[in-house]
Amino acid sequence: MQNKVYLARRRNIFKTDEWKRFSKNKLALVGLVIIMLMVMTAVLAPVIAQNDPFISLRASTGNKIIKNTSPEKSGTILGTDYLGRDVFSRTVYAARISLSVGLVAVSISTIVGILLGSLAGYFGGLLDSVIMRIVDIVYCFPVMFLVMIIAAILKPSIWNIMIIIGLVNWTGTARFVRGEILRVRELDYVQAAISMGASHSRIILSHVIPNIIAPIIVEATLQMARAILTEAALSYLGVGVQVPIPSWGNMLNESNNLAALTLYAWQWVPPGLCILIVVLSINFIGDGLRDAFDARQKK
Amino acid sequence: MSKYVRQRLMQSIPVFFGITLLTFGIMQLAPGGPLANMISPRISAESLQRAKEALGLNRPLLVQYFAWLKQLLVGNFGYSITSGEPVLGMIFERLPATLLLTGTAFLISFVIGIPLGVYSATHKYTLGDYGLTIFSFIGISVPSFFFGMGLIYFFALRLGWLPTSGFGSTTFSGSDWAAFVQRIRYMIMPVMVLSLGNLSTVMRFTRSSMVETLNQDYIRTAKAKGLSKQVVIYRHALKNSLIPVITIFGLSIPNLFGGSYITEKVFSWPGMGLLGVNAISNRDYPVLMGLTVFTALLVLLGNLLADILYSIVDPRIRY
Repeated sequence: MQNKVYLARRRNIFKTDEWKRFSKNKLALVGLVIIMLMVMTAVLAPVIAQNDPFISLRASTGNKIIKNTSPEKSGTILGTDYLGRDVFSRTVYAARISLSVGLVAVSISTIVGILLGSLAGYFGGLLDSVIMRIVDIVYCFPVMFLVMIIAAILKPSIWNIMIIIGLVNWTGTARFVRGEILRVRELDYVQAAISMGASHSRIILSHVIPNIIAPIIVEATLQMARAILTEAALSYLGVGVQVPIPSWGNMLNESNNLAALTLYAWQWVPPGLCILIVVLSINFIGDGLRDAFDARQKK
Repeated sequence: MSKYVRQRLMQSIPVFFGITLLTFGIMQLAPGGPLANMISPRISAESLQRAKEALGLNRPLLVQYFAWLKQLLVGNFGYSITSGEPVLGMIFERLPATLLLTGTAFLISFVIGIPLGVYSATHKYTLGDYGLTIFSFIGISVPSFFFGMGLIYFFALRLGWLPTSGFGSTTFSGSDWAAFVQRIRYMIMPVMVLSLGNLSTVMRFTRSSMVETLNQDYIRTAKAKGLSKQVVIYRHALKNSLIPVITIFGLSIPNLFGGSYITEKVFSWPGMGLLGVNAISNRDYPVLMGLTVFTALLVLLGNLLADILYSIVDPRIRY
C-alpha cells in the first residue's frame, strides 16, 4: 500500500534522471528556450506585430512610396514587401502556420504510425504482411514528391497540407513500433498480462506503449522538424499555404526573383532564418531527448 | 542466399501493384479527371461524353486501371497535356541531368562526410568536434531553397564568380575541356545544396558508429599490441564502423531520383525535378503520373538491389 501511494504521487519532472541528462545538453536547452519563445511569438502575434500583415502600409499610413522599402525608409523593423506589407508582421504571423502545421502533421503521423505498427506487430500473420507491404509502398515514393502531387491535386489549404504531410510520414514510426512490439510481447510481464485475461487493447495501450513511448517521442520530435521543412518547401513551390496567408515558405516564394534577391534582402532573409532556427532548435531538442531517454548513456 | 533473393523479389510484386494502384488512385482525385483540359464553355456535354467513351473513361475503374497498367508495361506512359510529347521520352530526356546532379552530390556527401565523421570521433569533445557537430545540425536543418537562394545571392550576384542558374551549353563533349569546366561551374551551387543534408547525415552516422567501435575490446587489443594510431583507426576501426553507414546508402536511393525537385527549381536545372515542378504548375497530370510511377519503380528496384548487396557485404544478415 505504502509503495502504491509513493508511485501514484506525481513525479516532479525537473527531478527525474531524464531531465538531469537533458539539461546537461546545452544545445538542447538553447533549442527549448528558442522554441518556447517562438510559441509565445505565435500566440501573441497580434500584440507583437505592429502592422496588419495582410494590408499594404500604403492603405494604413497613406504614404505613397511604400513598396519594397527598406527598414530605415519605411520605419518598420524589417521593411516592406512587393505589395507594401510589413515583412516583420508577416514573419511573426507565419510562425503560427509553421508551428501548427508541424504539430498537427506530426500528431497525425504518430497516431497512424502507432496504430498500424502495433496492429502489425501484435497480431502478426496476414495483417502484419499487409501493413508492412503498405509501408513498403509508401516508402517507395519520395516523400516530397508524393506530398507535392497530392497538394497539387487537392485544394491547397492549411488543413490539407497538415493531413497530407501527416499521412505520408508515418512509415518510420510504424516500422519502429512494430519492431518494439515484437520484442516486448515476448517479455514476462506482457505474457503475465495475457494470462490474466487482459484484453488486446488494454495490453497494447497500458502495457506495451508506455514502455516504448520515449523513442516514439524522440522520433516525433525529429519528424516535426521535417514536417516544418516540408511545409516550407511546399509553400515555396506554391502548392502549400496560399497567399495572402503568410507562411515562411511562401514569403520566400514571393521574393524569389532577381530584384528581390539582389536588392531587397530583408524580404527573404528573415523568413528563411526563421525556418532554419526553428528546425535547428527542434533538432537540438530531439537529439537532447534521445540522449536523455537512452539508458545506455547513464553515468 | 538465393532463397532470400527470391523471397525479396516475391515481396516486390505486391509493392509494384500497390505503387501503380496508388498512383492511379491519386490521379483519379484530379479535378475534372483526364479530360479537365478539354472542358470549356464551347464543348457540349455530348461531345465530352463521346470523348470519354472513345478514351474508355466510362469503363469500370478497375478495367481502366489494368488497361493503363498494360500500356505502362509496354512503355507507353501517355502523352503530355501541354506539349503532346510522350511522357516516357520526356523523362528519359531529363534523367541524365538529374542523375549527374544527384550522383555527384551523393558521391561528395560520402567522400567528405566519412572523413569528417572519423575526425569528429577521434577528436571527441574537442573544439573541432563541437564545430562539426553544430555544422551537421545546421546541414540537416537548413531549407534547401533558402540555402540555394543564399548561395545565388553571395556567389552569383555579389561576387559574380558563378552563373546564377541553368545548365550551360547543351553541346557537351568529354574532350571539350572548356565545356567541361563550364558544366562544372553550373553544377557547383546545386551540388552544394543537394549534398549538404546527406553529408551531415553521413557525418553523424560515421561519428557515432566510430565512437562505438573505438570502445570495443579489439581496438584496445590493437592499441595494446603497440600498433600505430593510424593503423588502428583506419585498418581496424573504420572498416567495422562503416557497416551502419551502408544503411544510409540504401536510405538515400529515393533522394537520388526524387530528392532534387527544389534544388532543380531554384537553379533551373533541366532535370526530372524541374519537369515535375512545371507539370505541377501546369496541372499536366499524365506527366505527373508518369513521373510518379517511374520514380517509385526506380526506388523499388534500387532498394531491392541495395538489400541484396547488403546481404552479400554483411554475411551476418539473415532474414
